[in-house]
Amino acid sequence: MKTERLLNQIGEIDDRYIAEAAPAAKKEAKPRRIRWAAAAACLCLAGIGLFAAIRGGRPSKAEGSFPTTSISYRVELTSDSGGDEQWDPAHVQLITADQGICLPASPKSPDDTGAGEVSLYVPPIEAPTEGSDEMSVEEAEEYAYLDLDSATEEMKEKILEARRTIIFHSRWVADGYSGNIVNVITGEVEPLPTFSELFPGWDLPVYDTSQEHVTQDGLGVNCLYGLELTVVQVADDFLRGAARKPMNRFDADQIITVYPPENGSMNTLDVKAGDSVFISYFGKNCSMSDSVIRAEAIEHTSPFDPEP
Amino acid sequence: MEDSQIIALYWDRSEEAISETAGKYGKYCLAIARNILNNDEDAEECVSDAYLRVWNAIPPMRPNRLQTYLGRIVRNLSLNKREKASAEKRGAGQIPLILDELEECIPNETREDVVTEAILIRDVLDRFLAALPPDARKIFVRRYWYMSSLKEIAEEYRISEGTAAVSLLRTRRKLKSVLEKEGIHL
Repeated sequence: MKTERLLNQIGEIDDRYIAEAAPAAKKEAKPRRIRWAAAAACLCLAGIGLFAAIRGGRPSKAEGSFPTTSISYRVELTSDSGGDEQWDPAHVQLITADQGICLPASPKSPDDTGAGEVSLYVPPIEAPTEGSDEMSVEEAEEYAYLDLDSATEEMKEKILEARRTIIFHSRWVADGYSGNIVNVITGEVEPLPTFSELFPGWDLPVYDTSQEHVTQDGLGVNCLYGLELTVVQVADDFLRGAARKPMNRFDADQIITVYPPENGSMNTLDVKAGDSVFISYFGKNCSMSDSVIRAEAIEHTSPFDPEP
Repeated sequence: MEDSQIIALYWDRSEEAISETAGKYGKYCLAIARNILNNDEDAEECVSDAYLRVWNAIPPMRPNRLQTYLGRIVRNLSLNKREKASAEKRGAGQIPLILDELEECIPNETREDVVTEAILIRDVLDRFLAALPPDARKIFVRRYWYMSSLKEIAEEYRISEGTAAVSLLRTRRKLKSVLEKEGIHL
């Protein structure tokens, strides 16, 4: 009787824990490699970074794949101008329903330091928003549309913060690009509005990797199957890298794409303690500017290991 | 189709709502029901009942997450069905009646007490889960909410069954300790 009662009470736990542990659809297990392939192809062709966030999902020790996620959307990005040699004019990225994606704009010049504009932003499509420390969207809407020019300095900061909140809770493409979210199951296509349609007169967000320092606390505990990644410094030259391939992802609140600094091979897990890796991430509690960081892998006891 | 669009179909009383729900979450629901009932026919019946419940509940309900809303209904229906089946097996339909009759002899626990305690336990469980490492939490929820077998859990999380069992053992011990500290005696 007691156990039945406990079992019934477990049935009433918060939605987010139920959603987090939802079984992955078995037939969708194969395309996980496609996502890597698509991401790698984008990176190789464009020579720029991209990052994506996945909530939940732990990579396999053997394959670096994602057992708890399944691809459900295709995000397409096209440059209206057709792009140049460095820019793949038609990005395609496969994502899951609880995954967000942000694609930076094409490199502007050989001197590009890595700071750059965003070409497409889609927050997690079915992610929970509760529990965030950010300004809520409702609160943000009260400030975001106030006149910036006539505001006091203090109010300006509040208005800009409110605008950032709204911008990063919305789906859009930068002007000069076209983007779609395609539901891969139903085939339904949702064209993304342009930034200026949604936010006339507002400034497009910019990657600025050099201004903010990201501490270990900023990432929390990130386990990469026996390794803990500790942030050691912000990498300001990340986006200039020519062909850094995604190597693996790990489980954390702000989930990331990991890039080996050099010669990393896709779908292998060869990070050892002491190796440096570049990671990019975004999540509900971080801003665009801390999106690119350098990390160091340190030996870490897996929570799955038996207690000594 | 987005959940919000499916919910809109329910509000419009369009039967397409059910086919869209079945298309999107049918396998998810069936997996939960099968784990509990271990019988395809019963599981399918529970899932169909769940669709009907959702149809009757929306409107006026507007669930935040259709998936978990549906999952909860399937889980409850399946547990009820299992309980009913095992009760019938025990006493050819008489035991449940007898238990109901004997319940009159047990000192009254008011509806208010029951609800208050349920809210307290739910709160403790949520806080307990929030404090768990994500992997241990997922394994725990997969086992005790989704009723997945150790084999399924091990396959999905790419760990051995032994590792899953050890993780569950530790989590159960922690939960016991937390419940005792909170003065909850089920």
